Amino acid sequence: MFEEEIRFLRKMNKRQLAQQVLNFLMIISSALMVWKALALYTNSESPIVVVLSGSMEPAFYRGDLLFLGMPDEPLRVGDICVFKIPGRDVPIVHRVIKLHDEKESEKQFILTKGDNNQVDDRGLYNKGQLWIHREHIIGKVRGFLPYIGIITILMNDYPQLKYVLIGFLGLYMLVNRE
Amino acid sequence: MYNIVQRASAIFAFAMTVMFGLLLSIAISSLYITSNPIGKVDINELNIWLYNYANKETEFAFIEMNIDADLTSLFNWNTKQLFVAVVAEYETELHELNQVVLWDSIIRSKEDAHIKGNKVRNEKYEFVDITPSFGEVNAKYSIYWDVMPYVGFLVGGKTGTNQTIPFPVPLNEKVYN
Repeated sequence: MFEEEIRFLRKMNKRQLAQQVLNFLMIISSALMVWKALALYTNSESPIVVVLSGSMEPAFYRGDLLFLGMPDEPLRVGDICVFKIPGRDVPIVHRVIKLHDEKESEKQFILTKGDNNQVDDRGLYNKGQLWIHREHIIGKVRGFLPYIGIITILMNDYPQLKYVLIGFLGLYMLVNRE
Repeated sequence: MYNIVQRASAIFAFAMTVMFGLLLSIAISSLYITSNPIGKVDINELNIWLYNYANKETEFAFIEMNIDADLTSLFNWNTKQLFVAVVAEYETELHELNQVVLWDSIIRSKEDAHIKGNKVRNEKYEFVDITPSFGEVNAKYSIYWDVMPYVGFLVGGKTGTNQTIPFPVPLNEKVYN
């Protein structure tokens, strides 16, 4: 199956090889540019996230893809938002169930809960923390695309798969001729 | 020149383009489907009890309400579920807007979207202010909904109720630890 490709690689001179490598880098950098442009446009540091837990079922299942945006106006009860607790790596997607806007400081005191959880998120916050604030919020969920993110979850669960996939894609780009 | 891998890759790429084009048109077109959701909440009873909560004497509000909402028109071919909640909104001296969910329900089919609840109480959610006491408060109650699509944009809305009920004085003192 690959003899032809290997012969092709051998046949290539240095310039052709350099051209292929450049093409490959071009694709990676344009993907990065699209991601960063999206982050700028939506004003959210991570505009697309994958659902990692079942705490928002039946709205979101593991592996669903969420598109985030950061609204200019303050958050309201009922909004589903993604937030990060300081000292924790994994962001959480839950719904705002309680909210207090302080007059003097204009600070928002927000309490969240997963639709599928029996209790609110105070057990998930840091010890003694009763509320989260605007600075913990990564974005508000605007759009939804089911299933697609399952690839990310598989790659997280089986890291070998990630290297196999990246290796295969890299090889494919190198031997791919236009 | 064309081997099986190239053919498969071309077919896959074309199938992906068609699928995402279709998903995008579904997502955008369902924004233009009109709906006419209606609903109201009537408060029958509002009592306040004092409890010892986090070492502070705190006011807990208990509400009994009737809910009547017809959200069937929100179901179209791209509606997966509705999240429906009764929200209390009020202003206090220190906070310009306070919003508290009192009751919620997830509706997964059009047949269940006509909600009628009699003597519903806020059993699942505590109605407590951020401060230990509500003070002189006039709360407004409304029905909030949020439409989850199979694919596309999340949209929400609410119907307001003009009925406001001033909070009564605490009934009596119960001390729990």
